[in-house]
Amino acid sequence: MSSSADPADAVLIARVLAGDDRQAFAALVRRHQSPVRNLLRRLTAGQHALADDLAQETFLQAWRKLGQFRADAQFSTWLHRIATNAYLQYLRARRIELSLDEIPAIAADAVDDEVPDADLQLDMARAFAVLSPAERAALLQCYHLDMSHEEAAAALRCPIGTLKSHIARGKQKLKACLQAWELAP
Amino acid sequence: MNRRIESDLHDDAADAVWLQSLLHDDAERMPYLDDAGFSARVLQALPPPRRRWLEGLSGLVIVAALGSGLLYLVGLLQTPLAGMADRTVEHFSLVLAQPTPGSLLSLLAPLLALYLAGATLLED
Repeated sequence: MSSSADPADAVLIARVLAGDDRQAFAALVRRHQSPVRNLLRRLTAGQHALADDLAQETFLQAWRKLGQFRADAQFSTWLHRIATNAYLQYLRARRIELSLDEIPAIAADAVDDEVPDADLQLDMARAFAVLSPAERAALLQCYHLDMSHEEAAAALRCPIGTLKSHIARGKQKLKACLQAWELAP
Repeated sequence: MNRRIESDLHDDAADAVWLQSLLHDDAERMPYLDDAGFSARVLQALPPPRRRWLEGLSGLVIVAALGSGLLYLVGLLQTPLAGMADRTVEHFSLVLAQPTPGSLLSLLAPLLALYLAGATLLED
């Protein structure tokens, strides 16, 4: 978590670029690790160990490519893009096609029971586990990362029509899994 | 048929509201994950630090070696090049002092060849 006393991302990035400053990079990792790991936990349907491996790869790539980061973008958005790419590379390496509709079982440790709103989180985690990797990725880009359809299609390197059909099918499956929440106040 | 489509569209719109609201709630309520050694693991996996003084020293050694080699080559070629230049100037002076068709041709032919080669290179 960052506070007003902490240096801004841009300051820390400049320190890393200027002098190989590992303490500055450590501060960036501490600040952004939670959202990146949360995103990857959703993308991997709650496989925490895999999500953390991909999150580590995300930050290592960020270290290597930090010189390419454009200051006009948000560092968190840039990290999420790298995290999504790391997940896509993981799928490709295992020859898992984004169009496949395989239904993975939800991991036993997919939900942190001690957090508030655990019921919604639990149901949402279960519902996301039913989605295909492509549907999960499409919905997360649009609803968790607030990307437009164009931006999400570019991030996932697929035509916008394909993205929309992933979203539509994903929503149908979510609707079936989350019907109890439709009537909730 | 049209009623079915209208009904589907109505259902889709209703789905969009509650489902999108649920998705946004889920995104906003993602728990803060404790670092629990994650940052330390990332730092350990980083490549070893660059040794800037070593890079600077290596650069200096390379520049010094290249400079020495260049100076040695210049020293080797200095005498023959100076002699060649002297002979060329002497030849040009003689030709221009007592011009004959043969001597003019020996002067102009290399210049023409140089011009043609240059023009060909520029066209390419």
